[in-house]
Amino acid sequence: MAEQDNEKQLDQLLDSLLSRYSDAQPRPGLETRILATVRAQAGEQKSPGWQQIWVWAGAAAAIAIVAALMMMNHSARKVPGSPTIANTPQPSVIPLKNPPAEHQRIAEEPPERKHSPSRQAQRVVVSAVREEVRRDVFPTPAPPSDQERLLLGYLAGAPQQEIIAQSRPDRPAAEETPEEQLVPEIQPVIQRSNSTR
Amino acid sequence: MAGQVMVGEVILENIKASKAETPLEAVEALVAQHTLMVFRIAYSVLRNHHDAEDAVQECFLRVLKYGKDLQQVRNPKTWLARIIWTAALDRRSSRNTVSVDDETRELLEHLPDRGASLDELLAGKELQQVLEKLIGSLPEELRHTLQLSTVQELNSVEIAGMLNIPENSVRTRLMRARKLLKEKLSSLLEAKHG
Repeated sequence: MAEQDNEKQLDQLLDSLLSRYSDAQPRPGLETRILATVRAQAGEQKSPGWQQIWVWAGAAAAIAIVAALMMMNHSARKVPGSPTIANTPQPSVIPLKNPPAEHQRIAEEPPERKHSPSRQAQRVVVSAVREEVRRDVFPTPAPPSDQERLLLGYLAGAPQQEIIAQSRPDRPAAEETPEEQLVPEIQPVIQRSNSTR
Repeated sequence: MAGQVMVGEVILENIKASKAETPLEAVEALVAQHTLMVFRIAYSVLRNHHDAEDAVQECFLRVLKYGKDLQQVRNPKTWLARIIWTAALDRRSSRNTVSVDDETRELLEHLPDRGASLDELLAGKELQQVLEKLIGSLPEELRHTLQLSTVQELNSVEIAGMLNIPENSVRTRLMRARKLLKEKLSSLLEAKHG
């Protein structure tokens, strides 16, 4: 009898202990924390797609910038030609025997001298400078104007020394080089009906 | 009748799951319904609030990875219970089988003397800790079945589904486990009281 009571009491004790074994309550806010973690993880799972899009967009933008810089660098290497010079009809250049330095000196003449030979000399200087620079496209040859035709006619008939004398400014004799002193004095040009001034 | 109620709950859960538009919504529904059950399953194994909550979080993150396949799960409750059970066991895998040692005997020293009532015996936490030690010393198949049976939210059918054993085996194992616990507890109490 006592043994049965002990057995019964032991069963009750065990049942009570086992019922409490897992009867635990989580700490407050567990469900909220789990939802926050799950949502954060779900957001990270979605974002790789968005991250990939941003990565590809950034790469495309970088490629576009590099390509634009390369194009700008390439175009900067081209001759920055003056549109007025390139577009204006170019007269035919008569090669002179003067060296480039002479050309430069001629180009520095005072602007008051508006003789056609000085203008021609300036054009020679410009063409010489232009020749030093590579150009991709040469200007299209244009027919000479009336003025140019008159000049060409004059130059074809005039002696070379006369042309040279016309191209040089009047300088004091002291500044003349020994070579220039050897050049005989040239008489003034006879005014012709077709002379260009 | 209990079987009909269980089938009804399964149908209701499947309806709720099918209404979820995204995997996240499906997981959120599972969290709202089963967090307490999942926690208690984890606690029955880990015996620690902090570890149990970590296991619960890990469980739902695993569930989220299933993505769209969630809607194809036939019995979400049992499926979820199996996941947390596996997660909790993985966390506890480093612990060895507990044996009754000096610590247990020391706990018994704090028990009330012979003749104390059941309420007096249960008032202190020492006896609960002794029981934990005794359950830990059981063979693995008996221990697992007994631990799951202490979770109020699970019945014998669901435990059988989680352990992949017949329902009769669940009852048999529970009987054997209780018998062993009674013997050990009785011997310890007799040793204390002389």
